[in-house]
Amino acid sequence: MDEDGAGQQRDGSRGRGRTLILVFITAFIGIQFLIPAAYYARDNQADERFSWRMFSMRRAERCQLSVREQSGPVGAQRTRKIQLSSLIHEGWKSAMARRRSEVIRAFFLWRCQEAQISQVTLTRSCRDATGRPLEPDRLVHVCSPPQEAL
Amino acid sequence: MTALARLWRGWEELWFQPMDATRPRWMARLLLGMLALDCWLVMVPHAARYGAGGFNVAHFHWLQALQPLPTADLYVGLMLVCGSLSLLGAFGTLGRLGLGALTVLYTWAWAMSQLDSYQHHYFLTLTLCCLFFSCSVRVDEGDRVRDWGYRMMLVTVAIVYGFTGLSKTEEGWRQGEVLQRIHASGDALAPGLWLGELVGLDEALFWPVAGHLVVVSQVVILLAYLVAGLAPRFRGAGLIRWVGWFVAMAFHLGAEWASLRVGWFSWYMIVIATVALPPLAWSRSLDNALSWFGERLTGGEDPPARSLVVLAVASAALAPLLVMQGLDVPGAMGWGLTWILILPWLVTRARGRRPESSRWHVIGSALAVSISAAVLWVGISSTSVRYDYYRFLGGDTFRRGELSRSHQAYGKANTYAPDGQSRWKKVLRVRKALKRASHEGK
Repeated sequence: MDEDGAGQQRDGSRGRGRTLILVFITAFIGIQFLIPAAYYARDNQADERFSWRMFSMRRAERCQLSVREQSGPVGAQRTRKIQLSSLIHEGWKSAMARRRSEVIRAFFLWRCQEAQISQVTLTRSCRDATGRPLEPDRLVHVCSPPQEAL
Repeated sequence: MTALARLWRGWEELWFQPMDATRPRWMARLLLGMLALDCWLVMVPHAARYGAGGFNVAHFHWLQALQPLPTADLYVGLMLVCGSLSLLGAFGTLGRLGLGALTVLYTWAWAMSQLDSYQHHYFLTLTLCCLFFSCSVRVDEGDRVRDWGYRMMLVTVAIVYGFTGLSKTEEGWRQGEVLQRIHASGDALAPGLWLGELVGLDEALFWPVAGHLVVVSQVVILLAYLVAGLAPRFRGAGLIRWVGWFVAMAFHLGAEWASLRVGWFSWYMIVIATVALPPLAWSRSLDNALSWFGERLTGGEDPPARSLVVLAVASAALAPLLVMQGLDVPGAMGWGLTWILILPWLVTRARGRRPESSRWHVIGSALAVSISAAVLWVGISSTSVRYDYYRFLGGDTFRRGELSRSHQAYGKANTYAPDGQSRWKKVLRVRKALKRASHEGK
């Protein structure tokens, strides 16, 4: 190929290279808009990860958590209060307090792996940034059919 | 040319306009240097929480399915390696492949558990991705570059400020409720109230004004980064950038003052703003200072003696092994052993440079390894990293009833305790609990 042809081939490759880069840049920037924007389109806005919501109103809430477990065979079941920090690291409490559904679900499934546990109840009592109490919420997870008493 | 083609052409010109290489170089050096210290000094102390009690939830479903249960060993090892790679990057010896490895490892370190939900760690992953594509990874790239990776980083920062500002438009934030709450725990915003009084704002009015000002500040900073990244020759760009820099300094220094801390997030943003927004002369002065040292270290044009090269490489091989022995944190051995892989790769890469300067590059790479090992040693041994790691471990294991581990951890914490912060009371408490448990066992 003559010198002009070689130059044209280089220009063509460079043009294709730049196009690919521009497509990548556009996608990269676009995704960065979409991920945090998706938060505002969600019904459940408990999970603020990847949305650039630092020190948000939700983050300023203060919550008390209480966990109760029901265990034992049918007819001899008992409910007891659990100290979360006796089971898992304290850091998970704030994730649960912020209603991160993945963490709560994983915790329920994890506890259900223990033999005899038939039900786990998580109760949250929160106050908003001004100290106003919010409606408490209760999540009940039933593990599996309770065992028959022997 | 169609309208779409014109638009695409304009889009191309935005990203590929030539620029001075100084800012991207310093952006990479400073951010990577900070990241190294962040990994070692801020993140390592919290390693004990990983996998505690056998419970963990990763940030992504697919990662949760793939990875083993994280452990303190794994996390510390990762943080030590990430820190070392970052410091090598700050010295300019890492290269694109190394930066890619750093990006993957660092991302895994925070993604492995939702215990780490610091949004600035996600931001740093995005920054590392941008730096991966930046010309700053090559020190000999030249003075004028078409650094779309760097521009992508500035636009990323602008997006962060944009959405941060959006989150502050909630009614409660705008009315200052969150700021009042922050002030209520420790009078953190007392200087702001005093300033407000000076301009005639009573307390009732101060909070909503402050809340609105926070939103305005995010928009100003966003504009400054967009101009710096995509329209640096725009008429009025200089003024917009100066204003953006001042507002960024005021916002982030104010946040630190008011203890609105999210790790080192504010300091990262302060460094980014100071490299990207003020006049180029600021970054060039750093270049001039570095060149002065560089000339004195390399000593002119003659290649160094082979014996000097051998000495440098031998020191680089020994330094991590020596430091590994004395670190006394889990994962240290893993970190030390990774150098068996990293050092030969670095030396081979350095030898591949131009023949007339390859010996200097090998010495430079070897020195970077030795210095990073030394900085790690000084950082870990002269700060409270080990004390914090072991006391956090002691507290968590005590709460979970792992009394023997707690006793051991508090004992170690005492070894590294600063004056007046010993954990003897905790040790005695754990011993009492152990005795009680042993009697109950009988």
